[in-house]
Amino acid sequence: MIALDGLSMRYVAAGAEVSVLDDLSLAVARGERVAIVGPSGSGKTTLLLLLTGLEQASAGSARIDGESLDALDDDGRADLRRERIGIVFQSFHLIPSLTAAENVALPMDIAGRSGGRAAAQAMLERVGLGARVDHYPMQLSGGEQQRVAIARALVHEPSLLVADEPTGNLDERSGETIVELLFALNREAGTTLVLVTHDPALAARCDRTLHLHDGRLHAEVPDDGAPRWGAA
Amino acid sequence: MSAADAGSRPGPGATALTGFLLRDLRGSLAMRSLWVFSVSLFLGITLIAACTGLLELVRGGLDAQQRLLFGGDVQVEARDVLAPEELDWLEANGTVSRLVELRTMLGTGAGDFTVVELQSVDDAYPLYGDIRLEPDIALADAVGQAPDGTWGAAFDPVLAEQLGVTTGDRVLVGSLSVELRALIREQPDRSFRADFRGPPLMLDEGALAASGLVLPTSVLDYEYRVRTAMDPEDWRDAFFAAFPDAGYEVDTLGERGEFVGEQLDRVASVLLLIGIATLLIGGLGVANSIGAYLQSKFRTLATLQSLGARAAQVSYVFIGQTVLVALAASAAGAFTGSLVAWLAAHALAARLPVTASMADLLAPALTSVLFGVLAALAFALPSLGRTLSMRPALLIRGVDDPDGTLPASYRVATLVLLVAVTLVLLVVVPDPLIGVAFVIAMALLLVALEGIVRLVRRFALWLGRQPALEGRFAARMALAGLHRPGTALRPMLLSLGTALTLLVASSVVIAATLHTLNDTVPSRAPALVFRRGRRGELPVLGARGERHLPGPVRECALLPARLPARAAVTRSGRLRGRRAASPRGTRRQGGRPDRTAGRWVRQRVERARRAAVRDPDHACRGGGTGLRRCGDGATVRRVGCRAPSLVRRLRDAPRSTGARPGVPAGPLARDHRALL
Repeated sequence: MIALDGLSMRYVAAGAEVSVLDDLSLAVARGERVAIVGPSGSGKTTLLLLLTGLEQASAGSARIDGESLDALDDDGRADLRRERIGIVFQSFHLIPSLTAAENVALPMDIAGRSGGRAAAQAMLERVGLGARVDHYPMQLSGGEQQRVAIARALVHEPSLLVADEPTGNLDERSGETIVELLFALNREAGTTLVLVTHDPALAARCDRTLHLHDGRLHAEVPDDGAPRWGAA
Repeated sequence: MSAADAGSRPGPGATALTGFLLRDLRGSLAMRSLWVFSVSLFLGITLIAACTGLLELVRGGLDAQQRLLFGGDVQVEARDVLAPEELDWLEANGTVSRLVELRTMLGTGAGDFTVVELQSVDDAYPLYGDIRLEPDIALADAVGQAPDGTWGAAFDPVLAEQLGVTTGDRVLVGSLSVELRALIREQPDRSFRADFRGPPLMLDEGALAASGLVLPTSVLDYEYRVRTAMDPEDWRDAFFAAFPDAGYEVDTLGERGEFVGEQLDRVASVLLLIGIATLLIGGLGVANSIGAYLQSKFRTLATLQSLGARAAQVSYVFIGQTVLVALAASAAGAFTGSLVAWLAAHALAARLPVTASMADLLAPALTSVLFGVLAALAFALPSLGRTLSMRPALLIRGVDDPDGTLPASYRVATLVLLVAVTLVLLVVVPDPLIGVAFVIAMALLLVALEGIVRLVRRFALWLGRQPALEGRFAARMALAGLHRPGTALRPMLLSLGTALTLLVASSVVIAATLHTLNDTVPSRAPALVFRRGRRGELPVLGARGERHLPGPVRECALLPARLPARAAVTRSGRLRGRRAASPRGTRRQGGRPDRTAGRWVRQRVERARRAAVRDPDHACRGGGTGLRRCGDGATVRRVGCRAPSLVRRLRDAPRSTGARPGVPAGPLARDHRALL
């Protein structure tokens, strides 16, 4: 499903070159659930952006579902995201001027697909927000907003779900609810899941956990929930 | 399905995106995100729409009144009756009304005399408008001959006031006793010129003939007014083509309105430029406002991109929002401006011939809206382009990119829009020269301000590194605020600099215009012109004038002459000559102030080294004199006396042909006018 080979990401800031990812290789099988852990600034989010084609690597190659991201132009990468990738952000990224249903239907609207409203309604039912379809994000709690974001990420039935710290902005109880929901939906859909997290318990629920440090995938951490660098 | 397949899918529904565009805009407006954008645009467009609308109404009113005042579409002026074939041609090409004018003395039974303008009218008079008499009788009845052979006349209220005559009284015109049968309450072509020739007295041509005033030496003006469906200019060309040797002056309606139109255009240009300046200041507000708006939309942009929206779709959403808001603000401004113009027209209706028709305001309003949308887009596109091309990683983190560059496509589009704005500006501003000057001044101003921004940045950077500021936290912070990436120095300085410059410029322009209107024009324009004063009368006139008139009395000698040759101009630009001459091509034109130049050139013999030559340039050049610009030299000849002169003013004068009494025939003489 995912094949990264010698992926590097560098950029220039204030005249100095900054290396974010350095010669990173990774393979993720279809339906696999992978957690990426690492300290702040280690390049986790950048890795997700490269995976989703929102950033372009300085070197190396990335293939999603056999499709080389390097061979696609901006529109091609946008089409790939629209068709096959769902993204959940730490800070939800709901559009404040749209209701919950409108937010969830947005991927289908963008794709020009019909039935977006009905699909959104059904998806919100599945995340337990069937009664909140017409509520705006500001009328929802953090946990509810993240549930809307998960519904939006899955409404178009992507083959790859990417989540960046999905519980990072939530309290413990809400976080647990979200984690349960995320994994339940992932199980139902058989979606490949790549999860970036600081939470060892969350990482432990994945099939594999990868340790990203100083822009490199140093080692795969055993599924014992205790990363060697000890981050909480 | 491959991404290529995905790419070949039909594009996302415009309806769905438009729905998102509107919903997102609704939410943004609720948060007043585009408040400054809308207000900036609204105020500028209100002012522009008000100015253009009022100009249109005043122009429309003047056009409507001009025809009435002129009395026809074309007027052929002659010193004698037209030849039968010429009259036939006139009648074949329009409806003709002949008005014979003669200035003479009118006497009462009590022995009082005063100067009047005799106007003999025919059945076709007036061609446009209606004449209203008191008592309410037909003009033909008022001026007709009674069964007892008595001729009647309609007289002006001024005459009644001067001589104390009333309806039913008899007055003496020449050797004819005329009965005053009606007071002229409304005369459509009543002249309001400063060169007042006396109150009008309307007669029948038969009465004029019976008065004994029409003699071989009498100075009569024969005005053949023509109402025609043809374009007046074409009519005149056809007339000249039919009678190339005719020596008549032919005025058209358009020429008569030129003077007022020119003055109006200048005032309107100044007002419009103030409006456009306001819009440009607002434009900088638009740019800043859009920048701030897009900053608040970083996450929305990131979300759209993460959900697979193509760049064109994202652009469609945000450019669409900009266009919609610009359209709404411009439309509101245009409506308000039109309303202001309409109210102003109503307020001015008592003093100016203004038509307060909302239909006339449509074109100016639509032009203002177009101008507003184009200007808003021109100012907004750089911000839009820079933001929409930002890296998604920055958008997701909500971080601006101070080093972001504007994509070439946006640069080109901005340039195209600026050109379009300039073109619309040049179309809207009545005086294109003023418009061009304004555009150049604005470009120079922006370049200068950009230079200042860079200088300030470099200086702040240099100063911030000086050891003397070590440990001075506040000073270093302040300097960093000037030179750090992403600082607001540029928008702040551009807005402030442009606003202050335009404010000062507008104040200066308004002050200069008011000075011209209040002081210069009245001081240079004659309040009253007495024609053909005899040499012996001038001292008396001067003495009386000083007592009774608000200003001094000045003499201006007028005489017909011809321009036989161009004269050599000395290096100093002066011509040597014994005296200056002041020839004029026609009796009427010579007596009026120079309409185009706005200055009545007077020369006294003792200091006259120059003469001003009026040059209807098309005819003049056609005549082969070579007079093309102010400063050209010419020799004016009058009764054997040659006077070298310099062209002081060039103006378009009504075209005329051939010789006329008092003016030597020839291509040069007939189209040149000089004032002494």
